[in-house]
Order: sequence, then structure tokens, then C-alpha cells
Amino acid sequence: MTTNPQKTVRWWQFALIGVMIMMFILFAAGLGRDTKFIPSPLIGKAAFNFDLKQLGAEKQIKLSDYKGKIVILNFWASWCVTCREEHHILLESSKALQPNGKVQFIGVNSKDTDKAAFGFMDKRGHFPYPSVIDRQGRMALEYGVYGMPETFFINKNGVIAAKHIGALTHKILADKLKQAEAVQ
Amino acid sequence: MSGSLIEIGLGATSLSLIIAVASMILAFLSLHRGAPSFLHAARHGMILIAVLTTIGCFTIIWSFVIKDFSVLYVAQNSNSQLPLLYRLTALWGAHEGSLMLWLWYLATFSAIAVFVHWKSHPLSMPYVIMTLAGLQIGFMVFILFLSNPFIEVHPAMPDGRDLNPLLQDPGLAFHPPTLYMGYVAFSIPFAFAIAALARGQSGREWVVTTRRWTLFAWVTLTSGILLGGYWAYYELGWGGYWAWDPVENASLMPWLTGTAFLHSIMAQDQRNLFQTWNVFLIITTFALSLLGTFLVRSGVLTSVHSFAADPGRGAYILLFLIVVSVIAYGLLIWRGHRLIGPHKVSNLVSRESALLYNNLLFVAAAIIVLTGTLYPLAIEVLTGERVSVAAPYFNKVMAPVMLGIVLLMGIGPLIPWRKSSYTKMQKQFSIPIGLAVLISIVSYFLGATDIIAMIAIGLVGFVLASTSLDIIGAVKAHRQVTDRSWLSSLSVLAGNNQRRYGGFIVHLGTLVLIIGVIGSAFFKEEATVNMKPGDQVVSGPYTLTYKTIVPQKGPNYSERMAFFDWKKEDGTTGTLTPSKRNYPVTQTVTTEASILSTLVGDLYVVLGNEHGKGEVTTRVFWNPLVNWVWIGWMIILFGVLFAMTKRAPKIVSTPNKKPTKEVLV
Amino acid sequence: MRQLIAFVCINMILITTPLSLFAAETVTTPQIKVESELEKRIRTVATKLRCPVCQGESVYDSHADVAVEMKRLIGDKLKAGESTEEILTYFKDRYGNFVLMEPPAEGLHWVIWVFPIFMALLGGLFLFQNLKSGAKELKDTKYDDFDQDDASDQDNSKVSEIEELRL
Repeated sequence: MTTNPQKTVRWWQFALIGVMIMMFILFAAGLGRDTKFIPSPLIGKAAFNFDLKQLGAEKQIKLSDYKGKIVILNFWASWCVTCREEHHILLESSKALQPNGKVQFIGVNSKDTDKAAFGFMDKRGHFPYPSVIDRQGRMALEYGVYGMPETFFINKNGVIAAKHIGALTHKILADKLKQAEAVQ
Repeated sequence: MSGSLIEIGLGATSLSLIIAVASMILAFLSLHRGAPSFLHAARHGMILIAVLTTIGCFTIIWSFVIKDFSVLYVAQNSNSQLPLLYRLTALWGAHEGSLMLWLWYLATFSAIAVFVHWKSHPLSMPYVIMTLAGLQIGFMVFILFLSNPFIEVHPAMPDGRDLNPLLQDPGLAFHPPTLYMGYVAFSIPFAFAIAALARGQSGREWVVTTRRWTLFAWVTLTSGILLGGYWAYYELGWGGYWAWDPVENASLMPWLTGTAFLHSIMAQDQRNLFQTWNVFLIITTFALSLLGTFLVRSGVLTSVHSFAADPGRGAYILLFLIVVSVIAYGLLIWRGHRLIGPHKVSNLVSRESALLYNNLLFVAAAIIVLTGTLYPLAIEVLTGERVSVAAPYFNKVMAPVMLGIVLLMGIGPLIPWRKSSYTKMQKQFSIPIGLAVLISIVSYFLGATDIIAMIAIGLVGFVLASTSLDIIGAVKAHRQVTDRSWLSSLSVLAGNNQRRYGGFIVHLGTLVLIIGVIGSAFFKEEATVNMKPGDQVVSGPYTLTYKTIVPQKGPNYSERMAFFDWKKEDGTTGTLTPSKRNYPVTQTVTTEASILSTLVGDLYVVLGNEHGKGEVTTRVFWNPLVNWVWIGWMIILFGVLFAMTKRAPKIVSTPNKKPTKEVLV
Repeated sequence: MRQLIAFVCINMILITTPLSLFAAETVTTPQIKVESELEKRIRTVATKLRCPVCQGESVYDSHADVAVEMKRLIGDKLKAGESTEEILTYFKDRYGNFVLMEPPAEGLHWVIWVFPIFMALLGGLFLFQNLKSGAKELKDTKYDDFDQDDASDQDNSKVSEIEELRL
């Protein structure tokens, strides 16, 4: 097709091979990654100081009430299927960690009704810590929540140190807690 | 009893794998031993594989029909309440079964190709069989070991999973099989291209032979894509039919290069040009078909909350793709230069160069879609950041390319081969250009304030004008010689030039489609309002009155259905009933749009949230000319049929100047 | 007396006619709703945001719970006087660039805008080169049948059959 087949034929061959190799590496790398992990831009930033009504009590709870403690903020709802998986982890961990006074768990009941929330807790166990009501999910937006459950690990200065999307396990909780403890 | 039926299917598919391997080996041996009996056996193998895979598919479909829930795939994808139509189409409702469909198409098309082209292509046949058998093996191994639809569960499940509401839909029932037909049909020209490469065979034979396969593949792929768009339009409820979603893009890419291929093989057919380039195009088209089939299942292009695909499957798919690409492109790099013929494109302005510009535009479009779709993945792999590339990007970047393609539609088919001159072009195109500018300006005053809309409308006018002038000129000339009527002359001309006029019809269909796109994209009216009973809203030529919302019950859902009375400016009236459905078992909520379709446009109503006391947020669209998209598609179908029924001249495979071994049949 | 009755009748008619017309209007004129300005502004903003849990849908088009709540929040923010930019930044700070429908034209992302243009130009250049060199080569050879194919409506199949025989 050209006047100099030998010379020009080489460059397109290289281009083709190059493109192919790049694409295949891209796909291979793409397969290996964890699609559930989304970097949150909120990590390292101050957590939003919410001021919401407690679930089942006539008082308001603010995040700043717990300044000086590490706060594990867990978004949950009665209709969330995956929340059932992590429920016992939350119960066990909070019972183990809260007595030392350094860690406080707080639940955020998001886009739910009081009745359904209590039904969930009656059936599976009440949290040994307060939950706040995020009726419309406004608070979830404030925290950049995609879906439930999501858990935020806020250090004692009120900065979000880590976040986990999906059901917690003891190991994940321990790892993320360490990150929250690492801050001076 | 039914347990053993599915075992027959498994057995048949496993046997077909063995035969495919055998056929491939036999075909290979026939090259080196020169023994025609090996090749005969390989051919019989291909036909046997088609029969066996048919049995395999049949056993699955039959298991659905008789509701055999001891078959895991049936239990996962159907339910005792599922209507018969959806039991018949459930085969391709999920991953494993749709791969089986792919394999069945591949096996059937291979058998047909091998049978039909046997006598005329004895020298290419070994390579064709090797390629097709190789592809089949790839699929069979994947199906049998990583995505097996024949697995049984004992004891049998009492009932299947609840019906996925989205899948119980005629649109979604027909979209996958049509689409896959397109993907798989490209494997035949692909196999012949590989044969041409392997043999170092320049000339136009493989292109002429596989012309109908190419047309068939193109038209089914086009139909599959449009069916998907049509389904999205009436089912998903956002008033549009194309969202540049990664899944949609995955099917568009092979279509773009496939269209480029469809056009540029004309140059090889008529003038023995672009041989190497055409091989590159068909390899790329088929590779993109494979990529498209698999990209959506591998987990590589998924969003946050999708179900993670089996990493083993993803890895196999990637490996398969790598093997096919390396072999095909490798052959191209190694032996492509042997295909280059003596002819060259002589002129910047000629039919050949117009085809090259066409290719440039379509390939550019494919590259844009590919980059846009893979960019988020690339960025994530490189920096860990997540970005979105969606409709706004694609609409902006693709617009100029698509406009260029429309322009070319009105020039390319009308200029002669080898060369044209600028004076000739002036004569041919000055009137259409003038008309185009005029139409553009008029459209501005009729409401087309967007510059892109103006240009698009002008270009459509240009193509219509230039093509009509050309056809009128030809008919006039014909009448002068034969003294026939207008209609009679036209039909004689069309009959004698079926390919050319088929092409005109397809282009006309494309124009109609584009008019539909322009209308629904640029002249759409949309309003989101909170409506209480008695409230009205105006959309297009219609006034909608909201009456009431009532609960309804379906077989497995509860529904909130709203009633809207519509009245057109000319006095006609009717009712629309958009609704929201709640499927308690699968915990899904679907929105059912209510659409009033006319030639002039669609009135499209969707419900949002309710606010108590009958108040509901309503989204109302007026989509002008949207049905022209589907009408255009029909015209395209007709045009392809018209072009396809032209009998191709008989080409017999000729030996190279330095024959290796001639295989006698 | 007759004049008095006439006067009263005419007055009655004069007064009741416009009244009755007015009454008729209040009973039969329906509420024609038009999309509110706020809704239009919500659309402008929400079509620039991507629904975080959907496959490529904009927040405006999506029916997902998250998207619905985001639209409500956008409405509240617009009422409070925030600009489109401020609202987009609000969501970007919490969800990352992922939530924007278009990649921002910052950092590495100019690539995606420039790349297609670059490719098109490259392709065009390559094409042009090829055609020019092909044309140049042809100039040096003698061809005497240039005008044979000028009739654009020639039956192409006949041409290919002739070529076939030559093969």
C-alpha cells in the first residue's frame, strides 16, 4: 500500500503489538483488583458533627459529645440484608471494647422507621450503644455513603481515619481500629 | 427420567469437545499429509458438532419447559409460575446458558459455512476448519469446566428462584439471541481471513465468498443493539434509549469496526485494494465481539455494588482473548504483506478514498468508545482513583464523528471509482449543498437552536438531495434509452444493481433513524411536576390530566397504578397508566412507563414518589420522532435483504502461484 | 313603572352576567402545572452527578433511594442559595470524582479529551500520506482507461465478473 513497504510496515506492527500488550495488562490488573474498594475522599478529613435524635429516647446526640474517644460509626437499617451478617460482630466487639472507655460505638439508623428498626433489634439483639435516626438518609449523604452497611472509624480528634464498606469481620474491625488509634 | 435428559445434554457437549479437537487435528494433518480423507473427516466432525450442540441446547430448554428443578441452572433462572414464552427463552437468561447459545450459534454457522463453501474453497478449508474448531474448543472448555449449565442438584429444588421481573419481558427475551447471532456470524469471515493470511493469498476471494455472512452478521448485530435500545426505552423509564453504558458500548464497538469492514471490502471486491487492512478490520471486529461478550461478565467493568464475578472465569476469558488475538494479529504481522496487491488508491477524491475516509471515521469512533469505556479502569489501576466517563462525554466527542459519517453517506456512493474531478464534484453536489444550507437556516427558525442540530438537519438534507438527484439522473438516462415509465425504469435499475440499491435503501433507513435521533435528542420536552388529582400538564401537543392512583395486584407483585387522561390538540383522547411495581420476594421495585406512540412522537409518562393523598411526582416526556428510529431499522433490514439476495458471482478458490499442496475434493 | 322594571332587569343582567362568568371560571378551570424553576435548576445540577449505586445513570434519571435523597438535598441547597459549582463540590468532597458524570478537566484527565482528537489527526495524517504517495506513484505510470468507470451507475457486478475471468 505504500512506496516503502519494508520500512513503514514495521512501525504499525510495533504499534499494534504495543496496544495489545497495554490492553491485556490493563485487563489483567483490572481483574485482580477489589471492585468493592472505593477510596473515600473523606479519609483524613474531619467527620461531620451530626446532631440527631436518638433511636428510642428523647434526646439528641452529637458527635462532639464523644470527643477524646475513638468513635466507630456504623450505618445500618432493618431492610439491609448484609447488616444481619455483621450484627453479631458489632454486639461482640462493642461489649469487648467499650468498657475501657476509649472506644464508643454509635449506630446510624438510616432511611428506616422506628418500628422496623426495633423489630430488627428485638429479633437479633439490641445494641449496647445508642443509635441515631437518619430518617431520610441526609446524614448518609454527608458521609458519602453508597449503601449499607458502612462503618467509619473516627479518631479521638474527630478525623475519619478509616472506612469499611460491607459487612464487618473481627479482623477488619481490628485493622481499621488500629488505624484510628495511630493518630496522636 | 428428566435427570438423565440433562445428562444427555452434558454428554453431547462433552463429546463435541472431543470431536472438535479431533477435527482440528485432522484438518491440520490434511495440510501436511495431503490426504483428502482427513479433511473430509474434519468436515464431518464440524457437522456432527452442530448436531451435538443442538442436542445440548435442546436438553436445557426442555428442562425449562418441563420445570425440571433438579437442574441447577433451571432452578436458578425460572420458577413454576414462569410463562411458557419465558421458559423457552430462559436459556440465555444467565451466564452459563448464554454461553451455550453462543457455542450453538458458532457450531451451526461453522457447519453451514463448511458445507456451503466446501466445493469452492478446497485450499482454504483446512485453515477455516482449524480456526472455527479452535474457537469452539475455547468455548467448550469454558462451558464444561467453568460455566456448566448441566449441573444437577439432588434432591431437586421444590421450586425455582422467584422470577426476576426485568427478565420477564419480550424485549429482553429477543435481544441477546439476536445480538449473539451478530457476534458469532463474524467468525466466518474471520476464519476465511485467517485462511487467506495462512495461505498468503492475495485477491478478493475470501471477501466475495463471505460477503453474505458479513451482511448477515452486520444486520443481526445492528438489530440486536437496537432491540436492546428499544427495551431500555420502554422498560427502564428514563425516556431514552442509549446511555453510553459500558455494556452498551461493548456491543457498539464491534458494530463500528464491522460497519467499516462492510464498506471497505467493497474496495477489495471491486478494485483489489485494502487487503491487509480488511484482514485487520475483521480480526478486530471479531476480537471486539469476544471482548464485548465477555467484558460484561468478567467483573472488569462493574460498579460498586455489582456481584463479583468468579475470578477464575475472568482469568480464563482474558486468556482466551489473548490467545486468539496473539494468533490472529500475529499472523497478520508475520504474513500480512503477502496480501498486498498491485493496485493503489489513485486519487484523493474517488470511491476508494471515500471508503477510506469512511473507515477513518468509524475506526476513530470505535477508538473513542473504547478509550472512554476503559478510561475509568485505567485510571483506577494506575492511581486508585475512581472517575466516571458517561453520556455527556460520549455525546460531546462522538457528535463530530457521526456528523462526518452522515456527510460521507451523501458523497461516497455517488462518486466514481478511480477518480473524480473537482469540476465533476461541483456539478454533482452544488445543488445539494445549497439545499442543505437552506434547510439548516430554516430549521433554526423552526426551533433548532442548537448548532449541532442545525448541522445535523442540514446534512440529512444534503444526503437526501444528493442521493435523490443521482437516482433521478440514472432513471432519466435509463428512460431515454429504454422508453419506460419512471417506476418501471427505477425497478429495472434496482433489479440490475441490487447491491447498489440495497445500499441506498440501507442508507435511507439510516437517515430515517438519524432523523429519529435528532428529533428525540434535540427537540425533547421534559417536565417533572408534583401532581394532585385534577392537575394538568402540557407536553408537546398533549394535555395530560391526572385522575387518581389506585393499588393493583399482579401474580407476584403489588402495584400502584396512576391514571392520566390525555387530550390532543386535535381533540382525540385516551388514557395512560404508568405504575410502580413492588415484587416482595426479590425485593425489587420497578417503574413501568406508559407510552403513547405516534409517528410524530411519543408521549411518555413515568411516576416518581408519592406524597400522600394521591399526590405523586410525575415525569412527562414528549419525544418527537422517536419511532423513526425503529422505522429506520425496519428499512435497514429490508435494504440488507435486498442487497443480500443478489446472487454472488461464482468464485472458485484458485491456487497460489507457488502452490503448497493441492487438496482434491 | 315600566321604566323602573326595565332598569332593574337590565341591571340584574349586567351584574349577574359577569358574576356567572366568573363563577364558571372558578369551577371549570383546571390547574395546569408547569415545571417549576426550582425543578429546572435541580435538573441542571442532578444531570451532572452520577448516581453512586447505578450503572452509569445520572442522579436525575435514577429512581434509586440514594438518588432521590440527593435530589431533595440539591433542591434544599438551591433554595438556600448555593450555586451549581458549590453543590457539585459538596458531593465531590464526599464521594470523590466518581460522582461527577464527566471527569474533571484537571490533573491527568485532560488526556481523555485530547486523545480522540490526537488519534483522529494521526489517522488522518497517515491516510493523507498514503493517498498522496499512491497518487504520486500513479502519475509515473501510464493508465489509459481512466474514464471507463465514470458512469457511476454502472452495474458493478458486471465489472467483477469480468475481473473474475481475468483471474
